[in-house]
Amino acid sequence: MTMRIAMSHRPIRVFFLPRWAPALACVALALPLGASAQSDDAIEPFLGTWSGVFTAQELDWWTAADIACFVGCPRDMYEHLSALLADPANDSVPWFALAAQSNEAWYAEFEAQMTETGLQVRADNTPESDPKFLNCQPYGFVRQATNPLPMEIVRDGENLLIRYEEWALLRPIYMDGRDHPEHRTHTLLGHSIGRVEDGVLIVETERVTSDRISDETRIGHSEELTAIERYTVLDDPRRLEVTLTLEDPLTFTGQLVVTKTWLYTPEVELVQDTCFQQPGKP
Amino acid sequence: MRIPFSLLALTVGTLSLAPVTAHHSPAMLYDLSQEIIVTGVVTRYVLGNPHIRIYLDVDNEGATEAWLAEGGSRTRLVRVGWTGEEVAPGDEVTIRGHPTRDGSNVVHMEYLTLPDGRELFAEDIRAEDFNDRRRRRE
Repeated sequence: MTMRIAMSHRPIRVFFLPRWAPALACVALALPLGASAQSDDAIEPFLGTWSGVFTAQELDWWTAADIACFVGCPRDMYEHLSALLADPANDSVPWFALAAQSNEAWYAEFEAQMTETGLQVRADNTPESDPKFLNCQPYGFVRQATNPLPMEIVRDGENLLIRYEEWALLRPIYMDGRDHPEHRTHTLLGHSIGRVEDGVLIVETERVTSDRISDETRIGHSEELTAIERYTVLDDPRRLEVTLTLEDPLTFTGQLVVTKTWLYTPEVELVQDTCFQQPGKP
Repeated sequence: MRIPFSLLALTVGTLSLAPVTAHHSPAMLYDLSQEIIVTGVVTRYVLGNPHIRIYLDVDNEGATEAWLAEGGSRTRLVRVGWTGEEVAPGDEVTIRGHPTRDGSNVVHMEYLTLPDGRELFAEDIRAEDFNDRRRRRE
């Protein structure tokens, strides 16, 4: 397709400045926050509301690589794309073209790790085979843990609770030293246990219903999936970074490591997801 | 300026309508280097998660074709004032955005022109705003 059809007029843009934008900017400028260094409470630095690039896009800390990776990226792809963007020789290439280039390069490598089952799962993961969200039914653990909308991490007694704006889901993280239960059915978000080591919140998850890992690549996982999330709070600006390591011997060999970043946004309120209530629900 | 749909049809073809997927980069499904305009009559509007969707009947030289316009994230748009009542079945609207890479009757909706002429930005982020944000600011 080579024909370009373009409008000649300048679009009228409707721009809304969020009420919390000034406060957000103040938060970004109040450096260093260093909450992780100011508290003896190992959990405290992780508490609060964290937003991805969609919600906190007014802050210029984000780069085009963060846009490309708004639902998380394989770590290798993010680093590859960042290097392409940093190269002045690519300044005339649209950033999204570079993103597609990085994605293709990573995917070609990962495909070699996919098992026959993994390849079949991917082939079966057509857009038409995953219509549940069109009926306001949430998707699974991996896509939930890397979704682009804000989340709030709160205490729940000894444990943590992640309140996701996406689908208004609640995810308990058991921090009280328990192990995964011996008998438990697989669920959408699985069973998660956590601990803090050297300032890193480590969350281990298993018993996850088979689902997709990525919509774009259509890679899927089985119920053998095990996941380890490592959350780190960094400053300047205060942000939360996760490294999500996935293993599923049924669908791919080795590990799939995904990274994603949120900024600390205490002024952001989660929007109650009333997808199932709104006009026009299918 | 309204682009006649017949011209549009020459460009994007008439393959079957495929449902959208969950959160994804538009660059993967859509050709962001191309721009198209689709004018049609709303048959259904869903301010849904993960993405808003407007289903359209589009007149292609006398033949009615079903189109789908996929916009931004539901709660992102709710944050900037969308209510789910922007359009209703029967409204004639114009969608400006990008075609799919596979030529199906789906448009990546960036701008929605309402029956009263107002134009709304219907995506999460303007890709062009990040053209100069290639490196982390010092």
